[in-house]
Amino acid sequence: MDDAKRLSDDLKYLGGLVKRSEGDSSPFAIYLLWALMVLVGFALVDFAPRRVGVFWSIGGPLGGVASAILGYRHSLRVGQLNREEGLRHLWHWGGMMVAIGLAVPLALASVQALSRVILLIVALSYFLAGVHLERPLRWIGALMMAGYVALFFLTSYGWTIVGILVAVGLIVSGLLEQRRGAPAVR
Amino acid sequence: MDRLLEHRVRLAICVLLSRNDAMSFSRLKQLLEETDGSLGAHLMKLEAEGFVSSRKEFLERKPLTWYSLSRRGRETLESHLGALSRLIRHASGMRG
Repeated sequence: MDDAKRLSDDLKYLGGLVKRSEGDSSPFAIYLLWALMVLVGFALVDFAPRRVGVFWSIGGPLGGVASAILGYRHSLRVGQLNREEGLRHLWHWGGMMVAIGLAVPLALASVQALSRVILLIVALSYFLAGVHLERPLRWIGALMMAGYVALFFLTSYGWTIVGILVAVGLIVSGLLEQRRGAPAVR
Repeated sequence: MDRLLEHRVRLAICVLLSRNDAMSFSRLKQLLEETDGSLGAHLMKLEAEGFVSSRKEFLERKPLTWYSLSRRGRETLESHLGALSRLIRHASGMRG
């Protein structure tokens, strides 16, 4: 009976440990990076629509690479290396970029429609990332979906307003995660 | 069942390492809430048996020791966990 109790305690202890070891989220720098990207990239739709394509086609992949580097450096600082988790992120965000690439021909019909379809793809990707990879991204995804709906009603500077809201959402989520998370160790 | 893994801290070290490619001494210490001496002793035992391997490097000029589960460690852990789950099934069957 004592052995069964000890075994049950050990399993609870192990389960708790595994959960704690996997609770670490992305560093604040990644949230901040994408908040700035969204702020500039969304505002461009209102102020310089011709530059949107160039901005995202160069900035998107570069931001992805920068996020991967920041994430890896964060793992080193925390002292926990997990290639499988890195690959999961790569497949998730890579899949989003491919979907966006496939949507680009819609620009022939309407640049505005393409921008909204891309926002919807990104919103869904963030939401699903929040479900499977990193919890706070769920709320960012939901915020983007609300922004997508709002764009049907906002007649002027809609993209800039949505961009500011999403950027603020990203910064607040990043700060909350940073406060919640364990301090970096070596 | 492996005798070395009957201690829950050593079992926990192997379980954590089995779910990651490598973990630093400090990260293990933070998660396991063990003292330097105690954790070091457990890791030494696991390393002596060939269950874990370590490598030292410098990060921002500070020394850092990484630990990984070896193939032998992984195989032993799998068989130990298998034996544990059989034991649990057996215990549940006796109760039911």
